[in-house]
Amino acid sequence: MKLSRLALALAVVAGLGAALAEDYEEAVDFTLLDVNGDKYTLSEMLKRGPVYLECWDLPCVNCIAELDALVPIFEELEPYGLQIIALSVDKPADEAKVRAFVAGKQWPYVCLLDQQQEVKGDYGIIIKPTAYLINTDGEIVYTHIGYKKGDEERIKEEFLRWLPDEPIAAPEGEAAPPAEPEEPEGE
Amino acid sequence: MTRRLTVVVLLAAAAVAGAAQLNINGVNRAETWVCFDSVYSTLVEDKLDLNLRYGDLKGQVGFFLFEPSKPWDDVRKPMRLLDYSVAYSPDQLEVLYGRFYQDFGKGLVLRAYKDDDFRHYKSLFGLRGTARLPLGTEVVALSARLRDLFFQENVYKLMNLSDSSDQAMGANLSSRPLRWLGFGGRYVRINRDLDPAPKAFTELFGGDLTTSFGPVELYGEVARRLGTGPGLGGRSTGFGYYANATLAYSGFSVLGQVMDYDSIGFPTGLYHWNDPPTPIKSGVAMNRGVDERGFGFVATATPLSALYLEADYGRLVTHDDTSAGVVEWEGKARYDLEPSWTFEAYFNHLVQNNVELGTYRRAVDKPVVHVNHLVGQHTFAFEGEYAYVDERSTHGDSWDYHEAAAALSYGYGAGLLFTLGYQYVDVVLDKRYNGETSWPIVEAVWSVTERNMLRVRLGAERGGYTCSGGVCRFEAPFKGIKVQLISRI
Repeated sequence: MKLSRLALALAVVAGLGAALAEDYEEAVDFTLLDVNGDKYTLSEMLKRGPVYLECWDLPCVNCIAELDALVPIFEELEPYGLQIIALSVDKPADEAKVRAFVAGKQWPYVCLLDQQQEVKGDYGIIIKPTAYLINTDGEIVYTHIGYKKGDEERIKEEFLRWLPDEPIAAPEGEAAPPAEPEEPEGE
Repeated sequence: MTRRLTVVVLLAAAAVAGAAQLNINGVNRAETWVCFDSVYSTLVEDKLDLNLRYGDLKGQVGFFLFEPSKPWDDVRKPMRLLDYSVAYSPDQLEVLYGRFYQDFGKGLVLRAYKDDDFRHYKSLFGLRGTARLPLGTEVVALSARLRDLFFQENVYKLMNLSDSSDQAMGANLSSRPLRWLGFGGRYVRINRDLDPAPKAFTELFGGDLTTSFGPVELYGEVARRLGTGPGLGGRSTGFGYYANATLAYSGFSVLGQVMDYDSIGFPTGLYHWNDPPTPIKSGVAMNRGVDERGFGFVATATPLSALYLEADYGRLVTHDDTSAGVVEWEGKARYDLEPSWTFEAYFNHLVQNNVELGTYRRAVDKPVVHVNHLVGQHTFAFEGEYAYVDERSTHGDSWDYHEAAAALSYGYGAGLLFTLGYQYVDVVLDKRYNGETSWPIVEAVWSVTERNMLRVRLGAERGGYTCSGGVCRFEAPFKGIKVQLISRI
């Protein structure tokens, strides 16, 4: 009887220890389709480098301004493994509008559709824009809420903290490949 | 022996617990209203959503509490709902039991969704299996009951209270094997208590096709309904389609939509299992999915990096009654003047014929301007709105009136926002605004921490007829204080 109680205590301690051992909150993994119908999984993307996950929708002017402002920073840091997910939480009825808007913007990011707002709920996103920087260990290491001009410099500092000093390996000295969907589709 | 087995199981659990990690997060929305009426009626609402993940196991727990005081409704109807779901979800598969949301295609056959901003929670409860297959293919099969929770006139209601035991079984296939080609097929069978015989069920089925070449993408979806008339029996059918075309270049895009829904919205009445798209920007629908056809265009352009232009047009009519319909168009321009100014202006024209109960025609012309100025950590914003309204009732009465609204905001960083607002109408309208003509309001939003946001609203709100995604409601006027605390867990 004492042995089973000891085992129970061990189980509880191990569980609590596992839950409390991390300094950072663990990012919830998800799989979503992008505006082109390609499938992306967060854990797969993290194998390449850190991910900046930003929640946006069409009426959110500040979200769009932030995503616009991050374009040159992304282009500069993409060879170092940075990836940005523009997570649209627009309704399914607006999918075509989102697709047209994203194509018009020519954002170089992965633009995912969270039409049921499950990822938004999993991450407890209250205000738009809200963005999370997730390191390659799958931990949320930085949260950015709201956006005003100039914030991108602060965000860039965080990117640099979590990126390697050298560009990540690329075949034959070429620039590192951008994030690819899990199943490259035929043409 | 049993004791040893217990020890082994617990030690194994300890080992597993040490290896995997329990992840819990979620959101709590707590809100209270105090109305400055003769009895200071109150409303308390709390909505807690928790997500739990442990390896391949996922769980959700939702608690909803709604406590109005009596004057909000004839009969006080508090509400306490406990929702949950448990799912086993390895990479290629998910089996879920409990409450969930699910769309099939664009919603012509099945749509269960939540709209937090509109306080509309149309969910399913039951069993759902999802298989994620190669070639961009996904298959979903479900058996579930519906619950349509909707906030209207300051009270939450179950819109399908008398039909909450109805059951649906269905499956959806969606596939995009090639980048330029995608397709889907779906089927839903609905059994209702109203059905006169076991054979008298309703079927909704359909399919879709997507193709793209270069900057053009085309999408088309059809749906068919086969069933029996409620209660009496007899054959009842419906058909609908939705199609859109997108042309998108760098800095320029055009979207065209066309739809025709003839008796696919099911059941007719206060709620539907399916909710097809509407082309109207403000979300107005005619006779949702039951008797409406229309089209719409959206064009966007960014001719300069600082200039964004958008034009929308949407039109909906019914099949036989040419006096009923909605037309809306809007032109919008936004300009960023570096380094710290943003100007936005738009003009909206909306005509509704025989949409609101008792209103034969309502035409609104509304220009709006929005200016935003940033100085260091300080943000200043102004929003001004004017509307000319021409309204006629079904009894021949008519009103011409002007509505105006202005709001001044000051924000400090991302943590504080203060707003002073004022709404005004120049005619006393008992029908629409309870005879009130002005509505001042002050609001403060404080991000207490990264995880907690407090919003306090004091003053009056005009209310009125508002829509979102084709679902409309009448918002009652309000005078009092609202306090809301949103916490990320």
